[in-house]
Amino acid sequence: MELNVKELASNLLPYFLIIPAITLIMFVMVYPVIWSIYISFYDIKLYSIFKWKFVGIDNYIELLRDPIHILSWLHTPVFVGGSVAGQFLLGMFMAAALNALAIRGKEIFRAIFLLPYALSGVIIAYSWRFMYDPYMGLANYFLRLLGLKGVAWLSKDLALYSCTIANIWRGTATSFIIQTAGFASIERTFYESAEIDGAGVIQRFIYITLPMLKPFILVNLILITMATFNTFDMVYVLTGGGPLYASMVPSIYMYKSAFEFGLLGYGASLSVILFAVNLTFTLIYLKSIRGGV
Amino acid sequence: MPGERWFQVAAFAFLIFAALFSLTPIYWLIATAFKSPEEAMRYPPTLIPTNPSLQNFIDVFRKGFVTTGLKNSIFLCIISTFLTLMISSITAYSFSSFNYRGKNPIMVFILFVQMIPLVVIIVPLYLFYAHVGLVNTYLGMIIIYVTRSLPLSVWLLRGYFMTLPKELEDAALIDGCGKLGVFFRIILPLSLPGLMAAAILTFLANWNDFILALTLLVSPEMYTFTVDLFYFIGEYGEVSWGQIAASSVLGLIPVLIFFAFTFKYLVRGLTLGAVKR
Repeated sequence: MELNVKELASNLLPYFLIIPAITLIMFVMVYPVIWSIYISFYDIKLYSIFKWKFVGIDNYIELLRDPIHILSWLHTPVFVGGSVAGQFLLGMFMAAALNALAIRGKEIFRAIFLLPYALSGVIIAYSWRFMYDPYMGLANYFLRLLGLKGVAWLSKDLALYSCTIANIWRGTATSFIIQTAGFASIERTFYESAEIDGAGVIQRFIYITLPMLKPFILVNLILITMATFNTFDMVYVLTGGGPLYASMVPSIYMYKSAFEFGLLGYGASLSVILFAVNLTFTLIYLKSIRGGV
Repeated sequence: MPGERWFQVAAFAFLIFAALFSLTPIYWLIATAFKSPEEAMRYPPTLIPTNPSLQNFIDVFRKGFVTTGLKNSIFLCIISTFLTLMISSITAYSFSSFNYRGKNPIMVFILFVQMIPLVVIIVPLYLFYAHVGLVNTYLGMIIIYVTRSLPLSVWLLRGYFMTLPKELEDAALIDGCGKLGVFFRIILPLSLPGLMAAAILTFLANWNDFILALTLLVSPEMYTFTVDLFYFIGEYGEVSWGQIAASSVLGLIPVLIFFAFTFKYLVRGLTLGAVKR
């Protein structure tokens, strides 16, 4: 009898071990996501959070009417599209160049390229604010070196593009490291035999490297798209979505609606939409890594 | 082959350019921190501080701009990292050394949770915290810091545990060591590099956190470093750039120290979480 109890306990041990993690995850990650759908049907003000007024789908209808909300989506092709294109190409070329070169000190390059990943978005925002300053900034300093006129980087016309450049700078590290892992997964022998067959650098890249990298490229594109789409700290501190909503993106607008304009229910409805977009990407991601990366 | 040579030169030139692009904004921040207020406002800007001074750092400390924030961040990050390691290592052990029904779906579920961004949960989390009295408490901060770090840490540690030779575990079991004994006496001591990697990633993620602390902490004496840094301009009125830069550099120091010694772990953590199964 005693033995059975012991056996039962040891059978249950793996379940016991995961209880703390699963409990925490359910309470503060999963429950909020589900609860946000419920919240989005209510009108809740930040200054009276215990007074909930049921409004049905009014928040969602308002989202469709809200010109600033619509504007924030109109900015995503530039911000997300530009960021992803820049991060992907730069990260890919950096990984490819580092992989192809037979030099010492590769680790130093790798460390330099990875550095932005380790920094806080707030600090990154400040350093780019210093870069973009019309007078004391380095960005205009370089433009003037090239004989061009300095521009107002954080003005209404340019803020969105300036945020995109700063975001490319920030996110290239992720792209670089995933592509580096991709190159590391390709066996040297493929190249050697191709070289014996007389294939040049470019041919080897097209016929060996690219096909082998395909799964890594897919994962990379999904991850950097999601990271850019969900960005908050850097843009919030750099421009706050301004000036005059010129660099407003959906994630920032969600936050501002909820915590600056004090409309928690409205913010929750935009959260739900953001989650739906993320869910789509996540499912593609989970499917693609099952494909054997 | 001349083509090869040309390619090598071009690739190297590109790498140098990319490295400069990577370093410039950080360099500019550090350079600004060491300039005197007059030099920081000079036009055209000086690329290298002509008279490097520590004045900005002294001012920042004297006025106590970010000292509370740094203290709070250190406190929160150390506790959260420790708890994350405890919880994630037993979870990872459950995944690496046992076979049971439902294991794979649970693992995929945890990977799925890792993909939930903070912007999506911040509004409901704030309301939830407000209802249970966790807003503006360190307990609340620690709970979310630990939880949001768990998925990556679990996956990273499970990957590490899987690389340990299975024979060791079997031998210990035959010698009469229980499953928990194996974990504490064999798996954990052998996994120090993996635990280090998980600890660094957790520490950095929470050290750099902004959205959670900005939303869930209300009183200034509770703020973490990044929130202190953000409110800098508004609260103190005219603050010189040099002082903002100096404060940022203070927050950079622990990151740079970690980074210099352990960036290999960072690489491993990033790729494990991202691409390896």
